[in-house]
Amino acid sequence: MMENKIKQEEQKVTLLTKETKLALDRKENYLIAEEDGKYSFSIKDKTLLYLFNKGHNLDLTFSLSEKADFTLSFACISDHDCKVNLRVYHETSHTKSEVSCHGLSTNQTLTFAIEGYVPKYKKGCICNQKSMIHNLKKGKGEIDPDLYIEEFDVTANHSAFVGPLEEEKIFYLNTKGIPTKMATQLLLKSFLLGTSQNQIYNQEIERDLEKTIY
Amino acid sequence: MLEIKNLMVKAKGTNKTILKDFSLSIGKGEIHAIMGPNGVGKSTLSKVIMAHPNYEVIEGSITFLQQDLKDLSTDERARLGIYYVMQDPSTIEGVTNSECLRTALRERTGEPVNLYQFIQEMNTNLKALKMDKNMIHRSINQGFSGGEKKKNEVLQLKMLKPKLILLDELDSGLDVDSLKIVCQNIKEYLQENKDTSVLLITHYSRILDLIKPDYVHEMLHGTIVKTGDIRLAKEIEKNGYSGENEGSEKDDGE
Repeated sequence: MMENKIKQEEQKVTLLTKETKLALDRKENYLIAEEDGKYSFSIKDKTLLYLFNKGHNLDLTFSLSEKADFTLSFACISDHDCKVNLRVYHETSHTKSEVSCHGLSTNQTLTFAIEGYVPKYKKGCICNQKSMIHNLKKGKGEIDPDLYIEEFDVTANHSAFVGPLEEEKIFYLNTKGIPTKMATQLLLKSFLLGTSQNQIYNQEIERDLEKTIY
Repeated sequence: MLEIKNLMVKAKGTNKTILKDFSLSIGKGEIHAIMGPNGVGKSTLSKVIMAHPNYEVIEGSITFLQQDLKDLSTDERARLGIYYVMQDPSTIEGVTNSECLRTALRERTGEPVNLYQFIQEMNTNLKALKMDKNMIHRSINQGFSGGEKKKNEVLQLKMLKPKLILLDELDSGLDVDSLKIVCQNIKEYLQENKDTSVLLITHYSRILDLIKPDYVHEMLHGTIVKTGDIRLAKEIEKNGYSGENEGSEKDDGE
């Protein structure tokens, strides 16, 4: 009984609202954004956040302090103009952020503006960001990655990719008898889900993805 | 089984003709080997049979089981029964071997895959190929050595049960032991499925000692210049390729 209750708690997926607070005692947090909005979070401990954006304009700020070790896996599917601004502030030394943003753009332009800040004297911080947007149909993508690093003793990296799925991977799956649409779905599903093992969260993404492809 | 007639193929977006008046006929249950220097179009041939998007057929025809493949896509050709083992199989992060195979099987039959039977058959084939059971849950070819990638391709072959197998330099990247295991498994498959044919592309005759061909073809300048049996392969290995090897134009596929 207790095991089931714990499992249900771990499976919990919540809508992103102004009142949303990340559970510090829970290993993984799952959020879904179903409307435009501006949101701020304070991260003080080890926190893993999966956030699925259903094509809304979002302005997200994450302020890291104390023992913050923050991992964000952000997924977005958009069929219209959509912009996501995302900022990570390292307010104290030895804080860590790993931000991974994966987007699918199918009609107009999806934009990721990702910023990392490490002010002077905040030593030993790790500030990494990795952003990718795949285009389908008439979709376009733009990524503006910025790192504002004022301290020498810091590790900071960023990478950005905008483009279609690799043709060779689709061809490989085709050679097994998998039609192109299904191959596209398999590749995009893994791209958007990342390492998430949450059934409910994954189903939300898969459902939206299927609507987009078929 | 496979009939290729007067095929002319160029690389898309260029004027470079890679296959020139290429013809080949493979009967049921036959094993054909093609040998040739780098750049003559060997890999291009197998990719064209599978309708790779980088190549364009200008003239000629390819027929499989009396069906013209002209308007068929890659996946349609695969579902007809052609299986292609790439020289360097792709790595696909996030899509597991299990998911790929179950999807492929479901697309062939239109029915959901019986999980119990699937697992039983998988385990039998994993054991025969001396592969770790956990590999099925790993992303396709991610972190696999060269030998493991080729074993993975043969594992999929055994599950998908094709009628024509295209082996593009199967021996490349394989150590001696892995090559023996992979070839042994292919031979066993051929013994159980006697009508299955093989087109084997290779530089070296050592693999032909393990999978004995009925016919060996020497390919130069985009076409077959000589046909014989295993003795032709030994002759090539001893004396080199016949005609002038002019450092022929680079083949995109190689």
